[in-house]
Amino acid sequence: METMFMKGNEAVAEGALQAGCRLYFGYPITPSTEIIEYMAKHLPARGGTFVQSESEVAAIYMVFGAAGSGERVMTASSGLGISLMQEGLSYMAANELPAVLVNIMRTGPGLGGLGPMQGDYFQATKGGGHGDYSLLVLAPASVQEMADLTMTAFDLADEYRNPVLILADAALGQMMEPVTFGAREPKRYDKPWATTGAKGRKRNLVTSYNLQNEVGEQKSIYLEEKYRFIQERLQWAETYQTEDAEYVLVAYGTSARIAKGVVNALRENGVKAGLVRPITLWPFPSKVFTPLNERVKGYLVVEMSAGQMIEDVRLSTEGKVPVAFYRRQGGIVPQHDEILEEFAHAFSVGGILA
Amino acid sequence: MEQRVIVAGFGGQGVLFVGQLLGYSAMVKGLNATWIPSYGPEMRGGTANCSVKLGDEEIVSPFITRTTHLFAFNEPSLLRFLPSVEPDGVVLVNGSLIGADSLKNVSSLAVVVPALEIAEQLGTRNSWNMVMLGVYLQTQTLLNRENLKQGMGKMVGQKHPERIESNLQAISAGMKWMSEQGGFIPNEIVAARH
Repeated sequence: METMFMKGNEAVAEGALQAGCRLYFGYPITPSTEIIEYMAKHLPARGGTFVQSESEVAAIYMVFGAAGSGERVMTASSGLGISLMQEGLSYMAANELPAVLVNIMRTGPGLGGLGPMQGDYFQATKGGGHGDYSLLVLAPASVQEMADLTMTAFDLADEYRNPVLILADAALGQMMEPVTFGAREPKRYDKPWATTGAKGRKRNLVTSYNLQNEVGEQKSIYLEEKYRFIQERLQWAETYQTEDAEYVLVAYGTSARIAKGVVNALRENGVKAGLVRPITLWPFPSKVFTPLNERVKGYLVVEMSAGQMIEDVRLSTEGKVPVAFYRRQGGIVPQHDEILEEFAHAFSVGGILA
Repeated sequence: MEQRVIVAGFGGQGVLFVGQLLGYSAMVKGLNATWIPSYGPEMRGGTANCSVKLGDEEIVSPFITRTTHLFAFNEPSLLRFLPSVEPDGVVLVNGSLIGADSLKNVSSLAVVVPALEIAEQLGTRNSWNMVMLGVYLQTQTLLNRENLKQGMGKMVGQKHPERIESNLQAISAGMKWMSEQGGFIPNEIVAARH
């Protein structure tokens, strides 16, 4: 076990290496560049192959091919680059290819700026490419989780044969924190479907093309059931001080860290506040809200977007509880005092402003 | 106890290095620590800053709204971050670059350090930022010289032991200078508490 002081981006890369990732294809972009730098430096030394592709479109199809061989493979980018990868992602989901992607979100739409934002939630969780598919989406909130969830992502990808996306914002990518490695061994999965050379067996095909609607429907139903199975099993969230909470803040990633400070401040002022921090964004952890909906007086969603995750929160609350919202955009991070002020305003709770 | 430290100055002054060293030193002492830079299209000669939080409790947000220690390596940094400093916070001023005129609006404790002059006396002109760190050590209780020594070892490894040694000498010189000023309330301090 060794504790290092690392950037979130470096922790993602080291986590991937420790999970047995030996192939990396990507194209650099701020604020994710430390990932590709780390891989370029360390992957060859650990027996892997690193290729800087000519574009993100090329990178995702290199990932596609490598995943088809059954090797653990990763790429990383920021929202702009992930946009370019959407076609390949749809193809990978259709072909049930396991791989890990990382989106270190900067601002959008378009070229945007370099600051942290959470505006790619829809793209990540609601498809983004064509067709009925989902990525599994994990949202770390610390440098330790950048490492841990990346390792977990490789296991989930292999277990469910689906691309897994780490969705983190630029602040998490750029910040440094202590991070401990060495506590876990990578799991190994049999991959009888992989194209590893057909000598002595029937050849494996990785393809999603067929012209018979009846076959197409069978495939669609199969994928639908697979995703439903994942939705039942994987709903992860951190709950903080929710046991007796009357008001619950809901946030992920960097926003969740700031919201946790707000919960602490509210508690110090006698307000029974708590926090739900979704860790799986797809599947969204709706089950966590079910018992809270019966007794909570209000939710306050905090995001660095115009309001994206709030739609899933509203669906999870089934209209039973008011849902308020606070956001900053364009690379500005929501501030502690602003959130407190919005809380007081939204729920008419006086006397909490220090 | 939580320290919220901002290090700010020109690119090339070691702003990020000083901040990271605080983070590494806190980590080797077993404290929690976060470090986050201002990043983006920065360039040599432009402004740079980083925020460091250290303490024994969980650090929720890595961002700083109320600063306990401000390292101001140049005048624009002093002016920019001064409003965030707590009334009982400490402003560590690079006196070799920042004139007394700039300190008019300082309402917390400010230590004006002749950092470059001290470093030149040591013969290691570039270690002036380590002199500032030495002064900082004398204004707080979370970290000591041994923590910085171990943090530096973890941070830069054993590649350049001579640089670690000269950095430690500069830290010691900063500590000595501060103690010669009479500890926490030396003559050179512009102590304009409101």
